[in-house]
Amino acid sequence: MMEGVNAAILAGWSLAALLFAAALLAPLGGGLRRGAHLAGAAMMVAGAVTLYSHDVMALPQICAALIAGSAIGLALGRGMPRSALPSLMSGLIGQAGLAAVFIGGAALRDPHAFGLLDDATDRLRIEGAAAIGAAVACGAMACAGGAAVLWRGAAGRWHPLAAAAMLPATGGLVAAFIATPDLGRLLACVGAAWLAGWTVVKWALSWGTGPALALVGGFAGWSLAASAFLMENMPMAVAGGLAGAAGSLFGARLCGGAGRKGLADAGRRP
Amino acid sequence: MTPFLLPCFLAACIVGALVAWRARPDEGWALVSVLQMLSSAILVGALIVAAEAGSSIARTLGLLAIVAGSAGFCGGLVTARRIGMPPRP
Repeated sequence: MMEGVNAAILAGWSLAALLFAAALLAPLGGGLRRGAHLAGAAMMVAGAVTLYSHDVMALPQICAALIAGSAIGLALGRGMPRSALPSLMSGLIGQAGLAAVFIGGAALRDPHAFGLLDDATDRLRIEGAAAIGAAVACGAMACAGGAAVLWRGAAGRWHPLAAAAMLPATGGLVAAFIATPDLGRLLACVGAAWLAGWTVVKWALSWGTGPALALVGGFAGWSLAASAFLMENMPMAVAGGLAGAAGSLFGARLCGGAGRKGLADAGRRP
Repeated sequence: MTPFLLPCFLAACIVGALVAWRARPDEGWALVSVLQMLSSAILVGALIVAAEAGSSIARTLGLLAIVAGSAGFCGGLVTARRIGMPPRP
């Protein structure tokens, strides 16, 4: 299907993907603000290419939703005291996961609009069902993880056991949804993934807020990557791969390695 | 399209893993801030859903996803700028 993408769209996608990669590399040299600006530029390019390449049917509603969401984000970002910024970040990452759940639900509701139906059988194609299941499950885990960081309860002794039970259960329910896609199985996936994300992040919180936030960012990244395969969008796939791999590995390093102490100390900084 | 997406996704995973491997623990909050900005790229998918959806329920879900994604993007940008600023005396 490469022939279906014209050169201008491909150039825009490539530029957005390079900007996303540069944004992730920037904090290594101490340039957090530069990284944020690069990520913002990448988002603008990716959004512009998306509006250029699709037939937009509901532009007034889309503009209203964009303005409302931006106003909420600006009010939260500017109004929170500096000491509450880590909690705010967990809430914002959870919102990205919630958006992935909404996207998966919309794709299941209207698969014809996104080209997910098999021409011969008129059923949801298996790769489409897999992308919906993965996006919804990882998104629910990110959303539950963000809520668990905000809740701030103590980690119980049963959290590791519950996490070890719920992660395979979530995988099994996603596999069942892929075999027979319907709304009931998708809701079961959301419930199991919510419990899995909550217990995994509660467990990670016993090492500090930083490792837990990195894991939540990893979940949100994987949900973004699954949504990218659903929408067949290259900048989303690159951003999802970057965030998923970096968040999961960095969270695992901080939970398991000696280096975790530094981030626990850095938690006092904002 | 998927065979074209897969190499880009795998290359991004390798770059992300290398960054996570090389990051020092004192760069953790900066890395988490950028992860939050990257995950708000879900806004692009939300735009596609709201633009392409035919049924009203799917479009409403897409619009809700746009609200959540744009709040995450703008809030994340402001938060990252505030974390990057030196604290006031």
